[in-house]
Amino acid sequence: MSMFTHVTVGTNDPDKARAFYDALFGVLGIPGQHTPKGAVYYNPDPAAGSGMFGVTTPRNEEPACFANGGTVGFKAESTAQVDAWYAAGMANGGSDEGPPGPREFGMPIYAAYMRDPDGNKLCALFMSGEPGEGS
Amino acid sequence: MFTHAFLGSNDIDKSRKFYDATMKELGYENVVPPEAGMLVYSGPTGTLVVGKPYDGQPANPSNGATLGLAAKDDETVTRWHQAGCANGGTCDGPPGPRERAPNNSVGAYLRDPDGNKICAFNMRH
Repeated sequence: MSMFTHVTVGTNDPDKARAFYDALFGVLGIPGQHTPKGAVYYNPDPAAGSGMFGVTTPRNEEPACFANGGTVGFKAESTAQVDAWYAAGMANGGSDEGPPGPREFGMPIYAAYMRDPDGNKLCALFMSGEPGEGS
Repeated sequence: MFTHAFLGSNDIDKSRKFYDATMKELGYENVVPPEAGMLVYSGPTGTLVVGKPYDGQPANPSNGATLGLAAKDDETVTRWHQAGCANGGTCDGPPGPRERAPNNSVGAYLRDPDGNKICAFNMRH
């Protein structure tokens, strides 16, 4: 079971957010479940407890705003998947916060950072090996 | 699906008190020393990092974002919520079943000392 049950981020433009996140999760092989109210949830395997990611307008009906200091990290299976994740996001309304490459976090990590169309900060991490391995 | 989540803090001592107390109930401890200036609750299935934003600007919470943490049973959800309210957090929804959650799973909501919205759930899928 994951440490996290779910993570949601807020959007002010669900259509734009859907296009962006459908592209990102398409790379990770995780289909989205669209709701009539415009929210979209990505839930790869509820029974396995791997966690759910949701994008929605805020429940309090105030405008969504992104956090300063907030980041959500997604697991990638290879450096190539990190590269594809970043490319898919940048082609669908995302903005760069750090292109794909090795990062120094005391262990071998290959990561890319991006903001979604609402400014929420995301990253994709491949957790082991040097660039090229596992891709 | 997730590797980690990072939450922003403007007062690491306040955050330490709050997250040490609440994460302990979920079975996690901070694994970095005080001089690191940040908090890292790490387990084999995820890592929660709490610290100052890297850009040097003040941390501010999102509107619309929630971070959900897994609790092993309903009692743990209640203890997590109590620990948070007693250590600088504010209640954003008391422990109880939630209609929107699968099979009315029991959850509770808190705001951390910086206003970040977090919750703990015992998910019944």
